[in-house]
Amino acid sequence: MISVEHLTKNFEGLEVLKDISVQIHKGDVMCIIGPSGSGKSTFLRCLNLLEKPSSGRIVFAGG
Amino acid sequence: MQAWLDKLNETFIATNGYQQLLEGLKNTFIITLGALCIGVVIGTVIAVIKYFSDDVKALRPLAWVCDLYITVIRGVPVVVLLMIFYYIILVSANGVAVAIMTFGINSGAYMAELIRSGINAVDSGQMEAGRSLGMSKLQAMKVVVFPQAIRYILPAIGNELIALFKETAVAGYVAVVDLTRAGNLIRNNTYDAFNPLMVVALTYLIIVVILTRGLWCVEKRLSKSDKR
Repeated sequence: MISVEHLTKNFEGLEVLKDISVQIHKGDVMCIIGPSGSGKSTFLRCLNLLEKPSSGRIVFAGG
Repeated sequence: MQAWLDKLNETFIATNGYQQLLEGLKNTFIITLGALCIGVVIGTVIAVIKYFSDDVKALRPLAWVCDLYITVIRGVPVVVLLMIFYYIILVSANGVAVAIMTFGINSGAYMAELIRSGINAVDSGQMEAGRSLGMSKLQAMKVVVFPQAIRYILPAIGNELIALFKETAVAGYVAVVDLTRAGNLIRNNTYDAFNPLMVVALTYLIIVVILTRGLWCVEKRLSKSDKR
């Protein structure tokens, strides 16, 4: 299970992710949709730690 | 015609000149291959250092040294470099060894750029994929990125090999009997300028044609993955 708690990401003053919290369970099929520039790719990159989140927690727990 | 054949016999066979040519060719091959190996190693090390120095601050001084090395080596002609190594730095060393080292160092500076370009040509998503899977940057480079970079690097190194092979013709400056020098020795002994020079030129030409053909085969094989 992936637990995202109060994830925030700023790019030089521009706040792209504002306090995102979500729980993703094993086997879940999740779809992230949104208009251009709303932070979809940024969210996924934060999950991968390809970007460092500005604040918040991402917890990877088994199951 | 018969007179020419007699002249050939006089120049090459009677004086055992062909043995000198074979010895010269052997030395040329040894120097070329040795220099290629050294050049590839130096080039890879420099390319990797410069690739990682963007993120790893500790590597910045090392990257600066590499830039200095490349600038100096690219600024000095190979012949001058060869003589500096032979007469100043490594006095009374074996000529072939000095030649291998010098040509290797010279080649390394150019290969560094080739290899760096090859690494940069690999899609950045590959490094990201490796990192996402939990690999460190170095692991991802070794396992994911570099093997794919080889596809771009190999043709360029092949061209460098051909250039290197012809470059070694100046090794005669420092008492190495390479192919060109052997031809010169025969010319000095027999006062025949035409035949030795033609034979030497033809030998270089034939070998370069063979290398080029081999390179073409390798490129064809590597580009198979491009066809869908």
